[in-house]
Amino acid sequence: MVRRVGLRHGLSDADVDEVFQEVRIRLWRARGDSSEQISAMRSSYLYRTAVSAALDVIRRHRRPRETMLEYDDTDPVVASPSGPERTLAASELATQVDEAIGEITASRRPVVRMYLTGYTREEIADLLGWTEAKTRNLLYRGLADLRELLQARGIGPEAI
Amino acid sequence: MNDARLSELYREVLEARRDMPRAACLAPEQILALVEREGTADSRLATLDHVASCPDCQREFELLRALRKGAPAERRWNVSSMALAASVLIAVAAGAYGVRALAHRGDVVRGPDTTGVHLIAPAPSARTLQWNRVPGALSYTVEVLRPGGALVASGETSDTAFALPDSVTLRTPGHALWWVRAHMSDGTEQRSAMQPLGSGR
Repeated sequence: MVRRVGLRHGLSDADVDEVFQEVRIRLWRARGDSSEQISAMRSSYLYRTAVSAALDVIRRHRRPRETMLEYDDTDPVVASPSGPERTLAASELATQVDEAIGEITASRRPVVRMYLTGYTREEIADLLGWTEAKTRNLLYRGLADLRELLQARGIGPEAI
Repeated sequence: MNDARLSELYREVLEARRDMPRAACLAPEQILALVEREGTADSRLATLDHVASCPDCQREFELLRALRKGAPAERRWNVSSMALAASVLIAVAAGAYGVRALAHRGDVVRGPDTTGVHLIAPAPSARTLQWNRVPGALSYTVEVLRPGGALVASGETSDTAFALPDSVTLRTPGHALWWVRAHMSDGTEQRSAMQPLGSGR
């Protein structure tokens, strides 16, 4: 189930495998010399163990790049999220869309971003604890805002 | 511009941001708070805004979200008994299978690929553990554990051999297990399979 949910949004098998491996080790160690079976452990305990393992895996993955950022000051241009690498990789139109999204009202912006990333209204509503109606309303308004902002930049409905 | 085209352009932006330095990224705990619906609505919105604009944080978010999907039912989440059953399934997948297999077969904890760490187990009476050299490894951590999981001995070395301390007594094969983790120069780890002490191949 974890694998299936993750794969829907771009999580790789390797990500899930690494966490599962970490969980196995921790559970195995946690047993110590007791005869308690894993199947008898509380599921909430297993979840906390899995979350803790996932957080550690995340921190471990982040470390090399954070270290590089801390010590490598030879090329600040590359370290900038708005540097030339990004503009080269993303088209002018895509960059304009991104900038326009950044100007949407704060309460609508995340909904628009999540929707454009591929999340459904139901998923967004679930994450924020909102009703589906509220989410739909904010999404439609947010998308309308975005189109207006793009129009103001000279990017109309005909843009491809 | 229709929704599909907007989505395509936005994904293009995200793709260009992938693997950028992460100085402005959220702490993993903040992402977890979003997944678990902890904190104020405003803080969750702000976290979601970042997650939806940062492909690396989004991947971490997905990992935690996937775990949450299989988590036990809680009062706030109103998850059905099916979800609870799913969490038990995960427990079995992630725990029971691993533990039992470790104890009986020693082949569950494996390296990420076949080029990883491979143990060259000693003869039953030998007291020096050996393994292959892993290209790019800076050091190795060796651990000897009881089948119950208790740590018997451990050590870190840049060599590919480890002498068992005198405190470790060799009895019947399988009374203890050993494995090696290679610490790579890029900050990652490669892990061997876990093997009963005193067995060779």
